[in-house]
Amino acid sequence: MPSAPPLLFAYVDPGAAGFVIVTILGFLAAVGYTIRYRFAQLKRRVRKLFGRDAPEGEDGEEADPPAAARDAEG
Amino acid sequence: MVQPKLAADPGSFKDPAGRVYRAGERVLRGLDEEAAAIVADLLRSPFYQRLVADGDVVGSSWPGAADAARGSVLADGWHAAIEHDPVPFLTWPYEWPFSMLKDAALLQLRCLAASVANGWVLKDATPFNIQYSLATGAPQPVFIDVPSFTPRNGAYWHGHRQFCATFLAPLLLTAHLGVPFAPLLKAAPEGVPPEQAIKYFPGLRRFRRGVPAHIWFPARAERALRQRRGAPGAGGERNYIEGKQSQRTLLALLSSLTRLIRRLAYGKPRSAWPAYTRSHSYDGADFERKKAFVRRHAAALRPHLTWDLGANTGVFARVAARYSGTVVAADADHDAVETLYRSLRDDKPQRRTNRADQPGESGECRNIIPVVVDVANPSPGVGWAGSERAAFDARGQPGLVLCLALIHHLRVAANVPLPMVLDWLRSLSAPVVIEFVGREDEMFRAIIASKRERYEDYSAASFEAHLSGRFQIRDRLPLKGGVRELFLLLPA
Repeated sequence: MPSAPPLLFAYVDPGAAGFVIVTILGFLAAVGYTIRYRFAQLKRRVRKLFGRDAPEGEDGEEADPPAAARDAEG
Repeated sequence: MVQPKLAADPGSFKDPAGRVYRAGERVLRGLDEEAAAIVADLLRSPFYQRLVADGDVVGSSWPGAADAARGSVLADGWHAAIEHDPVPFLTWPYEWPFSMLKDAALLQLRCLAASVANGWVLKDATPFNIQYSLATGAPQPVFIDVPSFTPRNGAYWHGHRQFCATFLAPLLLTAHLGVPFAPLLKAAPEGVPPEQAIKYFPGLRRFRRGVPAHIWFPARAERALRQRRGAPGAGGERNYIEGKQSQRTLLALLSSLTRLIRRLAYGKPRSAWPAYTRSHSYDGADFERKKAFVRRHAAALRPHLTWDLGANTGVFARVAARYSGTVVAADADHDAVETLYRSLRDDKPQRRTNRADQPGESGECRNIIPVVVDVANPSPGVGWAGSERAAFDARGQPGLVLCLALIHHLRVAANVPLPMVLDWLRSLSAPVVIEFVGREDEMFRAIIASKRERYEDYSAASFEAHLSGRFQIRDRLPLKGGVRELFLLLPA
């Protein structure tokens, strides 16, 4: 298969892959966030079951939706 | 009353929708019709008003119709003019220590997340859109590129690559590998693109935190795309510029990046200079006399802007800060500047006082902007025509320059002859408090111990001889039994 002349590479904007990259990373981040959120919920419930309340904010940073998302949701 | 002349900022030309102008201390921005309408909407948005109230975004207002500077901006062809609060001293990302770039990155993500949550987005993601403000009394990053806010309309985040190249990759290189990012950003203000950054992470290093997702994967994707599109007839015209992304996945990505950057740490300072404050060669009495000398002259001059060259961790910058509008504390040593920034950021603020006789300045005044700048190699003009990002000594006119225990380093370590050092200081046209370190001083002896050259031209007598014609000696104070001497010099 003939390879592309190097000059043509200069006309390809490397940022053109951005949409694919951001979509995949965004999807993975959302999956990760959901897992962390569910896990933190589960941990809280288990602690409650055994009468041990989680100290305030212990799971907060990992488990809470991003502050900005809360703003958006009102 | 004479109006200051309006001058277009040489670094503001990339966005065709607007341009920054300076009129003396004032900062105005010309906007085209579309940008003016968007900015007007933005200024009314509660999320934006909250960002401004929190000090995250620079304050802006519409000048009155009778404002002469506004008239000049409109006469230059713009539809509207907006005025921004000025920052005390412009600094560039390659002059910031690790924590300043990290705090700027977190600010960028905070502004972007708030925007996305409210239907807006930031057009780009470069640290050049962030400056350090002293509005709260201590250095704090502030977003200055107001027209960068634009309605999102569901678009994907176009700035991810730029964010990774200019914020994330430099931070990862320093946090994971100890590679300083300043030389990279100075040579290439567009940052370190993924394909270049991944070369620093061969083998197992590519599994370090943040590297697989934001460096390795984009590098592979860009390479694959280039190879596919670079081939003749491969359909290079197809693009995803109008691609959409859900708000939730974008916010999740921003949240993930925020967590990643929060966890990046520079660790303990690695150089010896931050400890110099405790290990310097002065005894207590001489050290206090030196501080008193600086205090006395700073109090008398009350400069709007003080430069402390060779500031180390800022002991004397803090002394001068009490009497200065702003102190720029410059040192070539990254770790010293990192230590200073962290202490300014994290110390509890205390009341500012004008009393000149109070001992112990530590923690009292934090109106200091720390920068990593080597006086022997200060930041040059960078970017288009060498003027897009101004050189260090072309940004503001100091009213006082401190140059304490620096001159022997410039002469011996940097090999700059005394007359050239004094010529440069004279070119600043400001009073200079300078400390001459004599040949008998143990620090001078230590610095020439490994040198073949003896620097016979370096002596107190030749120093004073070279002052003639350049400066007048207004005050002097021998220290350490005459081995060192402080001078207050006024431009001749």
